[in-house]
Amino acid sequence: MALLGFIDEPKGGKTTNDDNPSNWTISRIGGQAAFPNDTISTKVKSSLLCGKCQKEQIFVCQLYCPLDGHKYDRAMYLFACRNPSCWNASNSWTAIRCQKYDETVEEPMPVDIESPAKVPLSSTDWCDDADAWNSDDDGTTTTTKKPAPVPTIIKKEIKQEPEVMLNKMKIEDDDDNNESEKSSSDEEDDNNNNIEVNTKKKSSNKNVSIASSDAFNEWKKTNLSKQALNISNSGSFPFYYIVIDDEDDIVDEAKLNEKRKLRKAMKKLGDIDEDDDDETTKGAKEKYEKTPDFEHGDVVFHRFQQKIRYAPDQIIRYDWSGHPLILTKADESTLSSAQKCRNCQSSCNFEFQLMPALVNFLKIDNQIGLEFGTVFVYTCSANCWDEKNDLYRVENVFVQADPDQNLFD
Amino acid sequence: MAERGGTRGGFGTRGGRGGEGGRGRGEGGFRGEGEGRGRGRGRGRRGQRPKEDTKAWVPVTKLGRLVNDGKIRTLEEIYLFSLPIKEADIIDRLLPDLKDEVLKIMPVQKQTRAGQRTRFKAIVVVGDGKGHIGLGVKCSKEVATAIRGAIILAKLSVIPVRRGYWGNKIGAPHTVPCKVTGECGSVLVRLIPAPRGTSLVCAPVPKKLLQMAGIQDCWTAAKGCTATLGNFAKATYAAMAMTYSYLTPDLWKETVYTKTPFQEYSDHLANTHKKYTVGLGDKHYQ
Repeated sequence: MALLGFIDEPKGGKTTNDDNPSNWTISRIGGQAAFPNDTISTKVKSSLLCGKCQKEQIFVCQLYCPLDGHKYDRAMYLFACRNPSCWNASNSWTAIRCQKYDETVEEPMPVDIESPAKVPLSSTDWCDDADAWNSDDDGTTTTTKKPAPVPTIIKKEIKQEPEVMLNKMKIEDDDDNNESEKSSSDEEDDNNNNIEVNTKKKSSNKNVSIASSDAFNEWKKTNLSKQALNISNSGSFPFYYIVIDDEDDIVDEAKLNEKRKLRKAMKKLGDIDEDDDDETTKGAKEKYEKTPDFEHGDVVFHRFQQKIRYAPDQIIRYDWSGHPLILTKADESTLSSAQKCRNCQSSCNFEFQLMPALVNFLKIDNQIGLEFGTVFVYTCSANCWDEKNDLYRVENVFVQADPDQNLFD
Repeated sequence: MAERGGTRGGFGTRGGRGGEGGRGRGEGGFRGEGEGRGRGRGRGRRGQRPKEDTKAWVPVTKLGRLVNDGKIRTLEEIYLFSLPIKEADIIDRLLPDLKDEVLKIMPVQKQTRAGQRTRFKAIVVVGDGKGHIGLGVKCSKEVATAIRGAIILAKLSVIPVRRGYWGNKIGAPHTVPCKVTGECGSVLVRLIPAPRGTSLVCAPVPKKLLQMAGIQDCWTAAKGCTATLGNFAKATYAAMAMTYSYLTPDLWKETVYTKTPFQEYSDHLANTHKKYTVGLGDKHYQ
């Protein structure tokens, strides 16, 4: 029941009928924020400062997201700091909520579409284990949405040198590796990765040789040089509208397409017997493998990828009071349970998150202007609002960095 | 472009499909418990999402973005910097002529209270014949899904394979550089360098793997229950992985490299880092 947002036309697209950048009841990214009235935009500037470097933040996106049962037009605005040293930090982002009472809203008939009638447990209890194959790829098993404490393990680091770089091969230095291991454990709180380097008996050295780390540093200098920031000029990201779709529909449709394509591909493969009786006896020797054995070992990121694989270009994932789709391991305490509304002290719940695909569209002068892994926005569960005094309210943001961000720093 | 039926309206609490009324003023946000036919706010113009086939790759990881932008041009750079590859599209982009082949599909069974459940296990090998090999194993209820999943896993596990000579270093490398061995389960596979023209002297399973890696001549010795194809393939893959882990005599010579300006600068600040570097033939390391 999540809603997904995708990139739509840029400003002034083909159908220019209702291309109105100052319409605040529209979901879009880039450009300038469109508030319900102009007084808000002047007043809100004071709170649009980065929590780390106190510079002005840039407008990222706005979502129009009214809630059921409220006669309000409601929109969320997100601002972030462009300073590269502030990327991936939760306090460099600001989320603003604006509401406007609208009398013309018709209260929808209280249709009783409750969650489907709960099937009494006893009838399905007996085959509880039947689908417990522990695989999430088919989507039929319900994956636990709570971020399970799965440690992110880098299984092995096979030291690999390409043929080209062989002449740079160096003798390892143990101290160098200890240094880097120490520094990785002193990461910021935002990088909630537990990285354990396990050594297998084959690769006894878990060091990255000096030459490769030097080569990497030099490569980083040339390629990742963060461009000089002109904060003074009011840069803005390119303007795109957002089109919204229902996740379930997309997934179903994509699965059907996939099945069709795979069936065609299967025919080309020729005769691979699906039920080959000779093989079953031999196949019995083959053990069933529960978890796919992938090289990078990042289980949490793999689950994230599995979830979005039917629509990998999604940029927004909206799920009011749902569960966020975590990108890297996150502590329970930093998420929902600790979040409290700044204004009314009631608890916050998850509303939406920005997906990593959005980074590709936040470009200024064709260079990446803002980076993050994923951004969760938690809003007041009571949707507090004071009609007379309020112009806007600030909400909570939590940012997760890209899973390998620490390697690039 | 096929229309996706999305709207430009708003998000909302529940997925009542505002896309239904994608005409006229369109639907607004979606509502909570209740129908999605809220107010006609937002832009109900139908979105234009591209069809499945023509979708360009939208990278999700930082490494993916760098590859997409062309900042990383070869797979060897990723190996050199020891960066984990988490998206299969990265391999697609860096190795465009990668071929995949299904080694075997076998049904595996699990006993449950409700009888036996059969799933299909697919073993897929990918390789470009120029020194890269990957092996993927995936289990799934359907054959096609298993194959697709196995191909993706194989791409994520692509490693470089070092090739060398048996004797005279004439022409291009054609065999493994030294005797290497790999194990998985009870299976042990040993790859032995062979003279040019020997071709691959081995069982069909490692033969397929060695061919796809680009090794032209090799002798092999295998031990253990090689009938378990999964283990046999993994053992061969492990043996090929060892080729770049092995320190051969031609790598003994320590490399002398000139100090880069970056290094000179960091030497001045040597009090923060205890980094040992070797420069200009300086023998006082360690």
